Amino acid sequence: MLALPVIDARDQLRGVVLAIEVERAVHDGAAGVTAADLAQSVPLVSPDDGLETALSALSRNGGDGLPVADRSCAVTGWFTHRDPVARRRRRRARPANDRSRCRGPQPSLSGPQPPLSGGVRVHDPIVHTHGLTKRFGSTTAVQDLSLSLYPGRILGFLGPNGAGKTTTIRILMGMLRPTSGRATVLGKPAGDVATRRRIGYLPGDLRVDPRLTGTDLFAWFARLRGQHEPDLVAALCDRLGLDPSRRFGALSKGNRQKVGIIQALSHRPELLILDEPTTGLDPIAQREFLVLLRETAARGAAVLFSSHVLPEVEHAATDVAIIRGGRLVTYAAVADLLDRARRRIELRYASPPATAAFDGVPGVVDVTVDGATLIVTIDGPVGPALRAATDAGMVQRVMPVDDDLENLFMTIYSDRGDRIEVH
Amino acid sequence: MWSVLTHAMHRRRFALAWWALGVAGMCGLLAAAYPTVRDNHELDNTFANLSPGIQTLLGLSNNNLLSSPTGYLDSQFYANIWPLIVLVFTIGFAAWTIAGDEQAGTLELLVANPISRVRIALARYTALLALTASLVIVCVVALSALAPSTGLNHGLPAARLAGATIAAALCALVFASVAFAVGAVTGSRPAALATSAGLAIAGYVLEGLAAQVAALRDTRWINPWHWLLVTDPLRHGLTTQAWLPAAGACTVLVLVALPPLARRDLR
Repeated sequence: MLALPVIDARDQLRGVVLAIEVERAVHDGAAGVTAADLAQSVPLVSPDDGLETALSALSRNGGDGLPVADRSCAVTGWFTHRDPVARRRRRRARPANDRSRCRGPQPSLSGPQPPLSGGVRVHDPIVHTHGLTKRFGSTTAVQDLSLSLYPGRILGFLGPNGAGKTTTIRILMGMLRPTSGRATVLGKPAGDVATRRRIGYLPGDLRVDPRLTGTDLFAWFARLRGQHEPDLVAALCDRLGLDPSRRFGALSKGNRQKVGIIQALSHRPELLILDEPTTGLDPIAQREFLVLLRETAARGAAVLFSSHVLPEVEHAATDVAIIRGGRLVTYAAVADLLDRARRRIELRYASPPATAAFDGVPGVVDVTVDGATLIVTIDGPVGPALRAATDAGMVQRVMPVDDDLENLFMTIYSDRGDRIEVH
Repeated sequence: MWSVLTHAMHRRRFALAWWALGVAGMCGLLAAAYPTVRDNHELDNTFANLSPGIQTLLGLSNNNLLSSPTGYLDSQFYANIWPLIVLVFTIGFAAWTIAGDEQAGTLELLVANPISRVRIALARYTALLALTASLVIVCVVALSALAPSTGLNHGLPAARLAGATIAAALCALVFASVAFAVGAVTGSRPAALATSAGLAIAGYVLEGLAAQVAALRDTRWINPWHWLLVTDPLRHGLTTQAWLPAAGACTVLVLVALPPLARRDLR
């Protein structure tokens, strides 16, 4: 019988999403799932009557007519993680961080719910912290930090210098002991020695014995991990453009960083923890590195990386956690966060518009005019603003101005002390 | 664990080669200079007039004259130069094992691997012992080979040479173990070096003073220099009293340092 993971399907919609994904896997033949497996396993998933009803409907009509609004990237990730055939099939069909499929009920900061857009918890978290606090003397570096990272997800960990990113990462790696709270990694307490075999780690300040060559380091760590894959190491060196025969001390900063990245990836870890990994990398290596991250997530691993480079987080991460003064202020799927961002619309008129039409319109927070071009900033539904726009004059062209993560990040940091909830 | 040990030794291979060359050269010099001392009995009288404290530090007494092979080797080598050589050779490495590597930032990547801090520490301490043993072997072989040329081995079997070499190295290893322990517990290389070097010097001075100052005699039982000098392994062989206290102290220092190392935050 198929061993489905325990699923926290608390509401009907989430249950339906799961059911649809399982059904899809049955049709695809993924993981050897059969209808019998489904019938036996799913009732164990949740005793929820709503789910039962949904499944009955599924068995009658194969899912047609059920709400498919909330496709879960995570559920798909679970199947792809286990079945190489399905993984290849789905990878062709859809990149790992394809955000077009990640629109759905949004996470809240009220508890350690995964920031999966589908909200379906199909796996135990790879990283889970609860109330994590770390003090150094009178300084609190991390306070009451709770987050969960699930397979197939890439979490961008953002925050300015001294926000507590590295402290959190070092707690997860077992180098620091939390003052209070708990952190589990791959189901074990953070720092568990055997679990480190399954983790790839890149410290923020990479230091290696300068006399060692890349080859020496990779071979040494392979012995420690009991897993030597010279072909994989050679492929990684080739992709990142590193000559592993050179001594670490003779390498440039960027090439040293490549050594660090390769040693973190060379044992196919289930969790990658990278502290500012792209520091010093040239743009070509940066791009290749981001591809590597996505490939790592696509095979079901989880990635946590800290960064100051917001476009790279926006580009590579599926989720983002923003930390300020040791506290988690935002934790959401990147797509959800961007959806939440204020929308700006640029309108071109035949003649200078009458801005008075926007006065008192709900959601309109700013209107700027430059000749016949008007930019309206909206916080909320865009409908009323669009109606006002047509009242203001003859609209010839409408163009959305996408807000990026950088603007959002600045907004969050200018909101003093308040958590940004994603609703 | 084995790969950490071999990596640590590999790291020091060139240093070991140079130190071995230096020790062999020192042994050659000792052997070459012995005929001059052996034939100069004036020196025996001069040293006999020195204060008891200095004589103790030199390993000399009425029964152990400078002109004799044991008196010569004790006063010129085993009571001072050789422990100092081992001390300098080991203390830096011992301070590096955890604290030096930690402060350099290179330990961070290693402890991300599936090996505990305690195993890393033990592997590197074992490497320290192995490197010291290598130097001891070089010393014994060089002395055994060169001493007969000038009669320095007269009445001195190779086993006693080996015993004295080991006992003095153990004395130095106690202080290296202090460096290891302080480094493991604090993560500070300067603290490790300062504590161990300070204790080595203070112990040496106290041992000399204790021969004259009665109040200091009670401190001798805890002084590794006393364990070495009072047992005089060159004359009496490597007795249990000559090696057990030092070996025991090394063991205790290592064992005491490991639990705090396992628990504390890494820098």
